[in-house]
Amino acid sequence: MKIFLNGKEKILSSNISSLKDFIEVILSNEKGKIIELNGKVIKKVDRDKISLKDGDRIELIQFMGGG
Amino acid sequence: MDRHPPLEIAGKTIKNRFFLGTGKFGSKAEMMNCIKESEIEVVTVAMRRVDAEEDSENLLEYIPDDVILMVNTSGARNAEEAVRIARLAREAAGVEWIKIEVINDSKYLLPDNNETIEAVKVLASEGFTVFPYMLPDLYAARAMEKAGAAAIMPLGSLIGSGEGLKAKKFIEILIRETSLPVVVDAGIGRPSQAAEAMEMGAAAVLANTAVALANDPGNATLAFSLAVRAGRLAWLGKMAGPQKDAVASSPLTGFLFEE
Repeated sequence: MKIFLNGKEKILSSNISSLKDFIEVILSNEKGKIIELNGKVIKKVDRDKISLKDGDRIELIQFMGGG
Repeated sequence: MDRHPPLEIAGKTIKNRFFLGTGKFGSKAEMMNCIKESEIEVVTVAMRRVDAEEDSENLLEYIPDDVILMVNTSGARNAEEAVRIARLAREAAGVEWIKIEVINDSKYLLPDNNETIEAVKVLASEGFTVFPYMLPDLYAARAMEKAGAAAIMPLGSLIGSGEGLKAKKFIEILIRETSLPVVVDAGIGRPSQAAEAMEMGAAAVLANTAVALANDPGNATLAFSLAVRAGRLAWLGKMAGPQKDAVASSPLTGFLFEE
């Protein structure tokens, strides 16, 4: 399956099917991270209910220092 | 000792009129100390994509809960992108205070007033408390006021330049001609410049680079806070103006050695 992570193409291995699986693989600490799927913010409780499909666009966002 | 009334914006009361940007600090702990020691009440933060490999700590854990979080829309090149960032901040963390920052010039990093006005219209209508970062222009300021901005944030000089109030005359016009609080942002490099902005009637001052890259950010933050406070008191105090000739401070009669 092919998805887009922060705008970049990424091929997922076959054992990853839900958004929750994916987040666990790519982030060691998900505290404070905002996850957007196809333009919608996904709350933590909903992540295991959502299965990923080809062409999904995932954005990983967080608050950073800024003026 | 607290003689000057606090700044009130959207139901919040702000005593410390020095707003701090959180970028460029050596560490998050250092930034947190500056906020705590100087009792900073408003900070700005940005939103960025996470590099999965870097996986850094959560910035928000270093900002005390009672501090007002203002999310900037830095990275937005047009109104639409600024609106998207604001909505994301609200949805993800309940943030209501947005510094609208729309920049599509990479050399001077000047804000695009036209796009900013469009973003103010949309976000104010959605109930956000919006602070447009702007080039000090009276027509733009009026449009932002009409569109529902909570305050305006004219630049003192170019972002990060530390050149102070290069745009002083134009900021002064905004202070005089709009009824919105004016928060001077960008280019403020020294506490004396911050005081100068407050002396001419600014409602608050925001700085980041000057503090974050200081040798001692803790002392720098406190110096800015005190300068902003002094400037505010000076504005309220309305000092006697300059005179061309000498004017004695002591009575000119009853001298002890008069014959």
